Amino acid sequence: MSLFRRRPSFRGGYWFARLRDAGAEPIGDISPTAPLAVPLADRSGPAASPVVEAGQPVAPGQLIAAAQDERALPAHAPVAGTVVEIGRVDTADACDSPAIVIAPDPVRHAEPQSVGPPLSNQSDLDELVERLSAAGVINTVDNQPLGRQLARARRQPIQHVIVNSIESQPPLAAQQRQLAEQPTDVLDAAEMIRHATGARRLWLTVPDTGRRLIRTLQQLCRRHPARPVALTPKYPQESPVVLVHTLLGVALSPGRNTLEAGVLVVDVATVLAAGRAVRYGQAQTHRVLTVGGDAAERPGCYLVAVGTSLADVCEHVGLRGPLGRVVVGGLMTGLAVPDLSVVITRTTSAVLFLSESWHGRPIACVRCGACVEHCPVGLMPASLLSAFELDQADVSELYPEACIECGVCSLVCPSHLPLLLAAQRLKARAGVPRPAEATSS
Amino acid sequence: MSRDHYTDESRRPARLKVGSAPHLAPAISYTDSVWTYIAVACLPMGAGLIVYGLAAARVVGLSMVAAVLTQRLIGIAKRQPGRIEITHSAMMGLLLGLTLPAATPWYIPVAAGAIGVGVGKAAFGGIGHYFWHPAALGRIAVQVLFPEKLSPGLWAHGVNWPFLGRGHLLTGDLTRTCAAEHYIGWRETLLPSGCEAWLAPRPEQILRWLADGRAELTGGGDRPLLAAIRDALPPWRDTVLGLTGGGIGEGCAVALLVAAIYLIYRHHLRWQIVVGVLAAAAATAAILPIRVAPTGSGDGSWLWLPVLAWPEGLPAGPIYVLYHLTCGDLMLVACLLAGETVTNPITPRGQIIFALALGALTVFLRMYALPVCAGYWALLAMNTIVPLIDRRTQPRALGT
Repeated sequence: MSLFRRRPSFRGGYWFARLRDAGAEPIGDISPTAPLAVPLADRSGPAASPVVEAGQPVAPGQLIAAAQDERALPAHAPVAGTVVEIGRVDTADACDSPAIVIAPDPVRHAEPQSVGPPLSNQSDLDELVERLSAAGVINTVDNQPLGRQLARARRQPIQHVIVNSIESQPPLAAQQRQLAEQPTDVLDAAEMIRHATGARRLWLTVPDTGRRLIRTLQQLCRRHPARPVALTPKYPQESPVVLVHTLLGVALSPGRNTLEAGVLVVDVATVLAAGRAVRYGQAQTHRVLTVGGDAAERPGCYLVAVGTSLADVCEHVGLRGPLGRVVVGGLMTGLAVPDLSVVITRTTSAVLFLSESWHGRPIACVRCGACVEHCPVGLMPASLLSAFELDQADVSELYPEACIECGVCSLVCPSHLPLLLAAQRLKARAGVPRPAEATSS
Repeated sequence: MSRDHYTDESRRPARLKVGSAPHLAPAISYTDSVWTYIAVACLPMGAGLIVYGLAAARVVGLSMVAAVLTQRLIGIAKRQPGRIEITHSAMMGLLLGLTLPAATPWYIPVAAGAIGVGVGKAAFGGIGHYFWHPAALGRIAVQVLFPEKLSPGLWAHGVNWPFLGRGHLLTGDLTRTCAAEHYIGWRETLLPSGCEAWLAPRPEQILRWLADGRAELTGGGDRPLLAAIRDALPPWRDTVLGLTGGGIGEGCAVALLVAAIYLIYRHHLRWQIVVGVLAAAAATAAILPIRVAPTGSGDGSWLWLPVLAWPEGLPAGPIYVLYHLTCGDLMLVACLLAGETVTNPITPRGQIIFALALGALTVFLRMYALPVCAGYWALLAMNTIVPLIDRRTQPRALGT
């Protein structure tokens, strides 16, 4: 427990003023009334193929689209209802992706369906991988199917499992809220993953600002292999690259992911979904979202069915005034959406209703060095921008592939330059896959 | 059905605006920074106005007008209107005015403003593109073009600079001067009747006499330091408050430090730069030797580590170092000019190296090379090697 006294941190980053209101209330429930459009593809893989037809009644948890490919994940019905059509829908990161539209039917009673019989907490890796894939559990830290990530452990052993509850970008609070409400479930499910992968250590990172939560976890962990660690919630502490460096001192070389270093980073929501899939055979059909922004009347954490449109979320939480910008994800890394027809997916972390849409008017770089000082991975964003503008051929000395796309450089730039965009473009040109936070919509 | 349902106009409040992340207004803006610099530069400006009278306002006003007009003309010629460029030029004109002495003909601030902004800034492409600090460049340009107007008789050791005496602050006339024969301090000495201003050597000049080995200051052992502090230099209080001759904004160390502290508080200036320049200057002054015997008298004529001198129970060495910090252009360079971001290294580590080298170079030039404008020359010299510092101090990316 002495670990609680250590407060490791990292260089650079940005301190946001505490925005606690989003996570103060218990998790609310947004029960669907309008039709749900369950998307069949996640960002990481191809679409699943539908196994239901229009007009067919479905039960909650029923398989509606099966994965044909090992990279795809199956989709399940979040609620009881009737399939309206097999159509297309927009998500925050994909336009016109295939979806199954289900009209909820609150009156009709339908027995919830499970993806398999309950398994024990001591299941072996094969059982676990099979179950997690069948339940469609996705690791929202990097938006990869959790089953596939665990399957990698057969080839390359996992040494450490890190369960992260820190969300340092405003106003995200859903992970910490879920940990506060279900600490034992999180610990049990995390230990199940650690046991199956054979990892040596299980870490649980919590922000050092939640004193009550820390005390609760300290008591729970007396007879539990998990090690809770309190870290300063400086942004972007939750980025896997930064987290692994702060906690374990492992500096990943640019462009490599944590699994290649034998570290599995998962967040609280993923662990809970995995636990439910194993213990009750429950498919991942819902998601706890942070709903916030200055235009939202009742901000907070809400349990939302996958396929709910932003218009329905907006209707439920209410609006204080006219909308300027709607962001899916956090303020730092989220994506602004053009309208409210966009639906929630399994990887959506937050929906923010903002009254103002901020646009900077860039001027030339004044070489103040704020971006260099704040970059958590030691890059020179201003040089990346000029390399991008000049279409420089060789950027290897600037390491664009090391960028974690946290956006701190753009935030601190007094010239309002699109530094993050430049780094993203250079990375895309180098063909490096994007990290999760920038895509966790 | 679904798409109709979701795209139904009545369900969509208004067309939303999109934009790239982050969805927060930046914490800081360069326009703010420029305006804050203008606001805080009014502090040393006000101090200069009190000590040098309304002539100071005339000089600063002329240099600002020249800077803004030059920028405007170039903006019209390039068909590039830019309010921030104009504001920035006004700031440069103001800083430039602070570096000039108040008793100068009208064409000197005008030429300095036009050269500083026209050649120093706009010729390179405006904000973000110039290499040398425009204000320092303008100052050095007029120093080179009109040396007899800015430092007459300098090399003959005869240069005296005017500043207003007791009872004539703010409204006095800088041209009605009296040479100070028995000057013991601004408050302690009474002006002869008919005079409104003193004519005295700048304290920086007297510090240089120590390195030059001027006859009246030389003698055995610690004698020159003692003589300089007791007989030649004004009281330290006068140099801190700026009651000495010099550039309009150079004198008042208190005003400059307050300005710098406010800039640091508002995150427009890194404290490492101010502290770095001053610390390096103090260390250099503490180490570099002064002459204790007349020039050419052979070995043993240099006293190294003058900071250790402690003759007759008086801490002359430390006092000498403090004089170095508060005299001349060093304080203005440290507080308002060195933090100029465009001409600084971009890496935080490089900025510290820049500040340290700048402070050391200023004191070195002041003592052995250039009796006036040492700080501005040092600033331009350091600006020149900024690309070199940048290349050597690139931070290491994580995992490389």
